[in-house]
Amino acid sequence: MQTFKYKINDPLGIHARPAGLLAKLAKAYADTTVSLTKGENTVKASQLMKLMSLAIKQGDEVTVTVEGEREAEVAEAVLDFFEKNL
Amino acid sequence: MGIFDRFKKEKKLTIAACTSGAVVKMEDIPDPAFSQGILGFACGIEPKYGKIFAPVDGIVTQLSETLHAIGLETAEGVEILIHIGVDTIDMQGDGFSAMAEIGDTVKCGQMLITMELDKIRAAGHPTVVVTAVTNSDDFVGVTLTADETAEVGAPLIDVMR
Repeated sequence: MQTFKYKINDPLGIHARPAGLLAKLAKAYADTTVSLTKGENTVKASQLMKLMSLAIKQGDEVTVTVEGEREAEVAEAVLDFFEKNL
Repeated sequence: MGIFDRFKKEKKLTIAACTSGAVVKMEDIPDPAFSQGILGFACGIEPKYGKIFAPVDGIVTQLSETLHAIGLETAEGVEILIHIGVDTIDMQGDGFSAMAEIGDTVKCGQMLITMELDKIRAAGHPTVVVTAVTNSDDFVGVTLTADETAEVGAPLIDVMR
């Protein structure tokens, strides 16, 4: 299992557009599960609507958990996505 | 109704138009997140008035604090996102009012959100209302069934299981 914390810098947070891109990225790795945790709520990043329902805003800290066959590679890709988009 | 018709009926979910106006095809929606299919199969309606009605029977699963987007899930597991205007998240809810909240069970045709089209235009944003099937990948086929214009409550999108 790979995990990292990330503080959201984007003023709009994880709204529809970045959520869609993140869900697409997570879905691309069928053998690996990407989860996001904010407070007490954890959702799979591939489930777009649930991801949006976390209502992640600027300044929120999220915990990203990656589990599966290619977790190191996927964790790196997801971290890269966060740094570029969020 | 014959057995075959019943079978057909159960395999198909029709999503109604959530407002009335000219239909905008997915590739013509002026927001790449939708036109490129990042948020699933989508189509737009250029609204004639500032009211949004539930396009299906379902549960409200998502409502952004800025009230410019609402998510519904049907009993069949079809997830629908209605997104009002482009980049309207910038408006921080100004001009938008919601008549439903997360967890509500809603009926097709029930009013969900009102928005002031003039305020959206004044903010410099397109007013197109997008209906997206965010989990369209999970279904056999999702197709636009409306022609050039949509009337609220009339069929807009078919989802085949």
